Amino acid sequence: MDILLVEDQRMDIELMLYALKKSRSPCNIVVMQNGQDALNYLLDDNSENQHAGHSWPNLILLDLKMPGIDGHQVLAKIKQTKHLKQIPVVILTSSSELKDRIRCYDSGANSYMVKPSSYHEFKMLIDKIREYWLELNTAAEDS
Amino acid sequence: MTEDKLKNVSHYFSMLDYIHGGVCLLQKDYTVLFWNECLEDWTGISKGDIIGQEIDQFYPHLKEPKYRERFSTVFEGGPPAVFSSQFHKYVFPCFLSRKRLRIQHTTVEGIRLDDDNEIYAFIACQDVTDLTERIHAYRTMRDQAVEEVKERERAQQALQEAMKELESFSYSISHDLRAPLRAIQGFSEILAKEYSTSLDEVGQHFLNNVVEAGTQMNQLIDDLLAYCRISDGQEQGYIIPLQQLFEKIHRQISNQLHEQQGILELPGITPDIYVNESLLMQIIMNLITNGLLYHRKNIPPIVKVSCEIKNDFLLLRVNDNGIGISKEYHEKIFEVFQRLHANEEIQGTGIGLANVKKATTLLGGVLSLESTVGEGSEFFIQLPIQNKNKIDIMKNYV
Amino acid sequence: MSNNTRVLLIEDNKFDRELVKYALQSSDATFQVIDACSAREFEAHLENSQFDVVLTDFNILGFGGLVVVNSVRKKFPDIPVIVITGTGSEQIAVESLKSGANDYIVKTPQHIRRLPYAIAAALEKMRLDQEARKSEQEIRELNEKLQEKVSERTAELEAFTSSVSHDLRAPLRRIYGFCYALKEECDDQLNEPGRDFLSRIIKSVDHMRLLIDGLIDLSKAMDKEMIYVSVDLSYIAHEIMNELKNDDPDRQVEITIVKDAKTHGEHKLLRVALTNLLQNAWKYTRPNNKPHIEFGILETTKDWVSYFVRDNGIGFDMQHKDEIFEVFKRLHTEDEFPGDGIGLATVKQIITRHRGKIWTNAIKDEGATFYFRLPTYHNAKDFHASNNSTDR
Repeated sequence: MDILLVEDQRMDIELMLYALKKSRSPCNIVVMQNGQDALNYLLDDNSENQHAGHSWPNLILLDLKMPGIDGHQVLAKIKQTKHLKQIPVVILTSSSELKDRIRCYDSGANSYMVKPSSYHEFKMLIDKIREYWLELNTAAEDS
Repeated sequence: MTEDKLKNVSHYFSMLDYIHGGVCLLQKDYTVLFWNECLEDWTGISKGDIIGQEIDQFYPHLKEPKYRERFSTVFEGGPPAVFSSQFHKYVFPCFLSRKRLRIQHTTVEGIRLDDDNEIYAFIACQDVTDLTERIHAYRTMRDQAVEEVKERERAQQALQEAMKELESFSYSISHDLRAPLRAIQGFSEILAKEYSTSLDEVGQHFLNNVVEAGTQMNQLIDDLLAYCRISDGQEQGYIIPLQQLFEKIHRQISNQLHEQQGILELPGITPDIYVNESLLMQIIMNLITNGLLYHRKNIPPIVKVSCEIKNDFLLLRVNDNGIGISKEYHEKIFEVFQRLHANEEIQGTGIGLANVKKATTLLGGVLSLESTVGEGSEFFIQLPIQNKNKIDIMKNYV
Repeated sequence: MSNNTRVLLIEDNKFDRELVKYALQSSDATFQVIDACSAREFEAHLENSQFDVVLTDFNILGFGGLVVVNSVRKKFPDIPVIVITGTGSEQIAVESLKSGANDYIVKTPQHIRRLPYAIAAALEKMRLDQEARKSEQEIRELNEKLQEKVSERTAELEAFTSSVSHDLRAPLRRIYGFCYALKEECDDQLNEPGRDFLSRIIKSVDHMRLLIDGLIDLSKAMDKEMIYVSVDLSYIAHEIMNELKNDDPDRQVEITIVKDAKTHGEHKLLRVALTNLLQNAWKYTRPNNKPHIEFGILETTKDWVSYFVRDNGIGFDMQHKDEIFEVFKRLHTEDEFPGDGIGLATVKQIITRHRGKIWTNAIKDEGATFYFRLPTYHNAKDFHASNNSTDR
């Protein structure tokens, strides 16, 4: 799996999927609509999948404002978990508030992006993120 | 001038030595027949020196027409002359201190003595220095106070105008954003109506999303406008009995209840008080709607409203069996646009609770919340009752 | 005169005490005389403060009458003190009054008669003074409260404005996104009118986004923190004009910018203000064959510097000179000149927050000049002081 998308807003999910579909190279995307589900997915993997090495995403796109466990808590948990903390986590949120940014970077977020208001820029951003983290960036482990 | 006459006069007027004002008796030829102790004291001229003498020798200014004429009138049997402190500070100048003169109010009356047909001038001088000064000070202070009140009114007006400007600014925002929104919604509706059949499934889905997002924005702006109106104080609603309000709510909510398959319990017995209809409607409706909306999956919402009167306050409780609100958000949810839940299953926008808070504040009340995640919430509102039976906007809210 | 006025009499001479009491008795009002014949007694009574007015002899045995005046003044500023003096000298009178006594009375039978009136007058004056002070206090508090309310309200509206703008962006983006997707994927499924509706929706979205972005600018302009730094307006103007030229390289516009226009203020905000003004000039000179835009200094005084942005574009009718600074006020339609109607409101907000003024002069079809003046601050302290002193 290439990208784990953790986002609660249905329409934003659709738009992101659409943008990624139209990009130069297609990727596999798994969507989780709340933090708890995302953590369950990442943490409760059984040992079979672990060995196979397929189950973990190459990139996690994480929204902050979600019901239940919010993005901050998901981020913290990921970065505290030995087998997860090397996965790049890009925060993709509508909040540009300083305290959110600080908290995310303190917790070890790899990048913080604010969702642009213009759809075109949004589309471009998704594409750039994909290009940067999946093509340009070298991961810790070969997947 | 006989010795006798002087003796008689002195005897006759001896009591006048004890009074607090100056007394002088003048004969027609301006000879001083009596000069009381007070005048001695005030002027420093002793009786011995002045009695039997002409007054002009001590006070030449009395030869001036403005005094002469009026004294003559008195001597001729005319009406008394009054030298009021406003125009003549004194007839006999008397110094309080080196620089300060006594301010006096002097009357000159014609009187007769014995069987004598002569008219004598009875001059009475009242010291009104203190009084005059006090009046002056008072007037100054009063003028200052009036000026200050005017100043305050001007400041208040300026501030109110500034506030009005800010108010209309926010109203403008909500209002003027509607025009493009109308276009968006209008055209997308047309597209949906006319073209959904010619679009494939994907296309129809996209179009539905456009319509839905448009509706969301519309709702948002509606709520914003409502918020502005409350802030404006334009919600100067009618005052109706609380019982009537609950009846209205019951009628309005029935559709929503049916949709959500929810249950609403309103108070059985309502206290006999009158309330600001629109503000209380905002508060109770928003809370009920929230309670119905944020219900737990597969569990029909039950919202209970209860009220009681305690000590001059109306205590309102709205509780629900919904998803609850985590403690860390208890403050934030009352801010405009705080949304804690995905909008996929639940359609509220974030402004309802801000309206509740605003309306509560306007009524001079307090709002609190208790909630357990996964079990439900209770909103508790305490509103002061004015004039024994009314709940309305608190006047000191500028 | 109120009844039963309590008089603290500080007099060590028995006969003088009698004199005073006699004078007080002979008036209509009732007085209760409390005697203090020594320093110790005086101090004791001072502690108890069970009196309304103090009468003190000028030459009190053991301590001077002026000491009494001072002590009473310090401890009970609202209680009048009257000095009674045996001598009647001018000097004493002046000294007494200077050290805070309300009045002085000479100890002769005649003068002493004035005592009840003097007491009444002194009490009355104190009362009036107190009232005046109280109402002054009240007025000040009321004004403060009003100020507070306005600040609160302004802060609320700011939060509101930024919330509005911020949270409207998401649905807007989605509408656009799905319209775009529709165009991409289903263009062939729509006929001409259908495509037209779609593009109209998209246009409205753009328009709305402009509005919202403008509002965000405006709400930032209303924001609290103003950081005081040196700002080179000439440099900023050059930058802005370069950007405009880059975006629109085909346009030939003559540009004049004054050298070294330096001031102090909030850098970001001043930049936004100048950007809006220059952008406007750029936009509204479009129809002109020989467009000319100028940024210059009108006047420099000890306290102000006045600047202007002038263009020879389409201008406007001066009857609108006030309303163009209002939010959403546009004098032209969207088709003629795209815009959000917020720019000038933002400029005005920014200039006002700098304690400046903005005004305009224009002739329809000939051009417009926007003037603004900024106060000269000599240091940061002055800037912040003047910004905190009144409401925003």
